[in-house]
Order: sequence, then structure tokens, then C-alpha cells
Amino acid sequence: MEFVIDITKKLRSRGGRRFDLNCAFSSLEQFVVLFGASGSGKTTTLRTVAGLEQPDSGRIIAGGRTLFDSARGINIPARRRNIGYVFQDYALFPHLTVERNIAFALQPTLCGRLSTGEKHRVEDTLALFNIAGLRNAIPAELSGGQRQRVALARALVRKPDLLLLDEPFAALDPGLRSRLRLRLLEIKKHFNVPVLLISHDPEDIDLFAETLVVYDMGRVRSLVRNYQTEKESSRVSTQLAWRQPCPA
Amino acid sequence: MIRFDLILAPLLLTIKVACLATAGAMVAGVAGAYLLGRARFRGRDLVEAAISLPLVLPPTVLGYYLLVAIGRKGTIGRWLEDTFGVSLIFTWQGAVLAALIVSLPLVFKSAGAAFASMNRQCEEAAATLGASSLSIFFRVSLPMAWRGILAGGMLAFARAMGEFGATLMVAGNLPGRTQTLSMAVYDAVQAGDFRQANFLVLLITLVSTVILYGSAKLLQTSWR
Repeated sequence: MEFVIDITKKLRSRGGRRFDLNCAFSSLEQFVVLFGASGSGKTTTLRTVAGLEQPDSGRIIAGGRTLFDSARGINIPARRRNIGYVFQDYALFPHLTVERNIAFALQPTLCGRLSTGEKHRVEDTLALFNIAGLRNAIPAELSGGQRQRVALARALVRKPDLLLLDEPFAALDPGLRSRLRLRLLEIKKHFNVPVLLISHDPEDIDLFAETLVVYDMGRVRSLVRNYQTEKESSRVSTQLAWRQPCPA
Repeated sequence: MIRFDLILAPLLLTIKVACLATAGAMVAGVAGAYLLGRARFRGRDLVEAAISLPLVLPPTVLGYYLLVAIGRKGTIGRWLEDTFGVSLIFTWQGAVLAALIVSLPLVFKSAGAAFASMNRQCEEAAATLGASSLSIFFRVSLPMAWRGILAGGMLAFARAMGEFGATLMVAGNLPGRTQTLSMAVYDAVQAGDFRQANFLVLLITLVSTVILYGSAKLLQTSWR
């Protein structure tokens, strides 16, 4: 997928702390990993791609579609971007059952009635993510791993053009983590969807990254394309400082 | 002897006034809380304070403001008179308006707190899933904040039921027309009819207790 981002955004916290996001990178690959310490601007970048926040200037292009371009006055609203977003804490609708969480994604209109075809798609998705048995449970009754599955199912049932994942494994215990990483690869293959993933866990990079973007203080410090082959050469690992522990 | 015929009319009127005032306060309070919670403009705190003012102002002051606004000489009052040929002064509709304004801050405050404490990312998730602002409000924000809003609504109902001062100034105390339960208590005590007063007081206390208990129960249970 063609992915271009070149944005600036000034952030001011209430306490007067300043943070300037000024990042630019591009990729033609299917799995982009944003890596860096917390507070380095990864999540803000992801939110601008989803349309949840607006950059001060710049442009964002995904899959040949211009989502944002300040020079041309383009800013497609979040609801028309067709981008799946899995939040760090999953943000499932707490008042809706698993089944209704997923149905919402297919019919997000005010009345929300599903057609017969859409009902079948909900069924297929429940089966695919192995959550059919949980259909009548509400999110509070689910385990962390189950919540993640529901969040992925909800984001993917719409067949998005791009999937954004914000630290999808951070909230899970380590044993579950490695299993769900492999599961994510299967899911990505099944839906054939490009992924932009945030992580500060080197294991995510080793497994997923095709393009690696290293963030530092709101800027892109380094960019490695074709990471899975490049990582074998010592050139990359010496060039990148990501194996050093990151300040929290 | 308790005069039930003197209780029935005020009771029915009280319920009618309180229901309509609560409905109005819920719509206005929820809409106001939602919009103000998301708006960023200068003077936002001032608007919030103005809506909450009836919580602290003496009801007589509020009643006076209302009289000035909707009375024959008031801007709104004259407009109502000229356009629709109606006056709200000394009518039960006037009592609804007084009770609405007095109970509005209760809905406004609890709805504001409910909207502020909900996970905003759920609204954002709905947006990325293709939902419009209207759909997000009715299918995500409102159901998620529902318990807080309902608890506020019950408080508002209780407050509207017991409204006395502002209502007295705007709608008066006309038996059979604008006399509510709290006015009937006042009349009974003035007339020295303590048996009647006792019954009315117990009735009001009972209903209010049930409402307070119910709203506390609603706030206790939540999804998390």
C-alpha cells in the first residue's frame, strides 16, 4: 500500500507543556510499525491518520487516497475514511453485547437495522474470531484477550482500507501475547489489509515490521524499509538504537 | 377529617407539572450538558454558572426574574401575548416553566458529570466505524451516560414536585387551578388544619424518599 504522511502539529497541554509533532515518512509495504518511547508522538500520528485529530499542516495519503492535505483544503472526516482503529484499551461499547458491538460497525446509522446479508456477515465474523459463544456477553464480562478479539472483529467487519493498532498487546499478559501476535498475522492475511501498528516492544518489530519507523520526541529518527531482510545485516541493528531501553 | 377532594386536584396538578417540567429539563439539560462539554469558547464557564444559578438563588429571586421576563411588560411575555395571545402568569403552564428552570441544573450537572466520566474513545471508535454525530449521540453517548442522566432526572422530578417559591410568584396559589401539593400544605397550615397538613407532608415525604432511593440505586450500578 502506498502510504505517505508528512504532518506538523503543535500540542499544548493545560499545564503549558509544549510538544511539537513534526513527522514525515512513506512506505509501500503492508505492515508499518511505529516504534518509540511513550510520549514520542506515535499515538497522535495514528489519530491524525484516523481523522480523530487534525494536523496543523501537511498531508496524509493512504492507498492512493488523500485523507488530509492542508494545502488543498482536504480533510476527510473520520467516519468517511474507512479506516479500522483498535484503541489501546479497545474502546468497546460497554452497553452493547459482543454481537451488537460488531453489528454497530456494519450499520452505524441512527436506526441501525441490519439487512439479512449483514446479519450473515456478523455471524461469519463471530465465527472467524471464535467469539460466537460470547455473543450475548457485554465487554465487562470478557477477558483481555477476548476483548481484543472483539475489537479486531469490530474494526475489520467493515473491510477497512487500513487497520490501525495502538499497542494491541500491551494490556495482555506475556503468555497470551505471543499467541495473539501469530493470530494477528493470520487475520491480516485473511483480510488482506495493510496495518499501521504502534509498539514499544522490540518483539513486535521482529515479527511484524516491514517498514520500521522509529520515533523520538515527535520526530522520525530513522526509517527502515524492507525491515525483515534488512534486520539480518548488522548495518541496521547498529544504525538503530531501539534495542537500548527506552525512557518511560 | 382529611379532605381527599382537596388533595386530589393538587396531587394531579403536581404530578402533571412535575412530569412536564422534568421532561423539559431533561431535554434542555442533556442537550446543554452535551454541547457545552464539547464546546471550547470563551465564557463557557460563565454559561455553565448561569444554568446552575437556580441551585443557589433564592426561589423568590428566580420567581421575580421570571415575572420580569414573562410578565405583561417583559420581552418574552409581550412576544407571547402578541403572537399567540397567551400569558403564562397565574397559569399552570407558568408553574411548569418555574419548576423547569429550578430543576434544570440538577439534570444539567448530573448529565455533565456522566458525559465527562464516560470513555470518550467509545465515541471516537464509533466515528471511525462510520457513525454520524447524531448517531454517536443517540447510540453511544446517551446510552453510556444514561444512568447518570436518569438519576439527575429523578432528582429534578423530586425538586419540581416540591417547588414552592418561584411557582408561587409566577403561577400563584389558586385552588383547583395552580395549587400544587406544596401550596396545599401551606394553605392547610395557615388554616390550622394540621390533620390535612400531616397527611400531605407524609405523602410528599414518601414520594420523595422513593425517588431519592431510586436515583441512588441507579448511580450505584454501572458497567465497570
